[in-house]
Amino acid sequence: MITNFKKQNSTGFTLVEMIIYVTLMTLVTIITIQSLIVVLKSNRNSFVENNIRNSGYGAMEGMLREIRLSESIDQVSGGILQMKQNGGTNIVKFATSSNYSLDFYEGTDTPTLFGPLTPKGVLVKSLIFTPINTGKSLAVRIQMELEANKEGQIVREWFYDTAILRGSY
Amino acid sequence: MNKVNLKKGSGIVEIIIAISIFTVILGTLITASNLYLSGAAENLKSTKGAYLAEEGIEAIKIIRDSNWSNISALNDNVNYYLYFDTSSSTSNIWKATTTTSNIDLFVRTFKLNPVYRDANGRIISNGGALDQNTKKVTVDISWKTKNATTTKNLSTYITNII
Repeated sequence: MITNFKKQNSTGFTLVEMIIYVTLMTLVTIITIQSLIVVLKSNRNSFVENNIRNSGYGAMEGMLREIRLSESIDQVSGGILQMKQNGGTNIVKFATSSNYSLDFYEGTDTPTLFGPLTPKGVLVKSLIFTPINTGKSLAVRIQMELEANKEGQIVREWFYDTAILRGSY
Repeated sequence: MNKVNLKKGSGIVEIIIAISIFTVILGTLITASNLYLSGAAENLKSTKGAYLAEEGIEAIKIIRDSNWSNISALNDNVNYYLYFDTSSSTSNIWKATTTTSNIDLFVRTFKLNPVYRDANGRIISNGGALDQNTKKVTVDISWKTKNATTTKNLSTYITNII
């Protein structure tokens, strides 16, 4: 009887074995969850950075193109830039709106809103236009700070560029 | 002998091996994904760097436009920094300086090189006559990444347009 009982017992797990297994299982689970969190966090970060990059690229290219096509500066004050193109017949204007988007205006006499250059979810936190006059040419310096956020992951980035009004020579 | 055969459950060694394999695979996957993600993060910096380099070229053209003597006064093959001078009452202007001036985490320098032309006025790298009214401009942008420093440069020729 005694030997029979012992034999049956040896086919199962002892308490020590169980403890070891459970400990190992817990450790593995913790490692997995931790790394999952890290991956998810960097994924979110990469999404936000990509968003900023694309919006920054779009906004900067839009502004630089119009600056280079322009001949004279009508108005520069902080976040507003208005310029004349095509012998003064076309007026273009960039300004930030109350909901932090960068808006583009165009028209012959009074520029009308054409649309935003930045997508929803990306905020133009600061936009500074600085005029430059060399005596031979005009130029505009752009400093723009964008902010995007996804589930608490906030990324901010400044973009800088200067462009000469090619029509001002 | 029968007793040994009755033990069908996995032994501690097997479990440890299984866990090790699992951990190695998991670790590899995470490293790969992180590498990919940090590459994506570099994208933003390189876009910003490209604009800074472009600004460097435009700034030198602005310096050239205000007076060619600003360019001819600079030494060849010496690294200069650019700074935006807002102190003037007439107009803001870009200026060259030897004082370090970094933009966020980016370092921007430029250098000028002499330009030589042959009898037909073509730019040549060796021999020929020195053209006093043309310079080769190279703008260097560098920034620190996780393990190294990334450098990008843009170059062009500027001439004295008077």
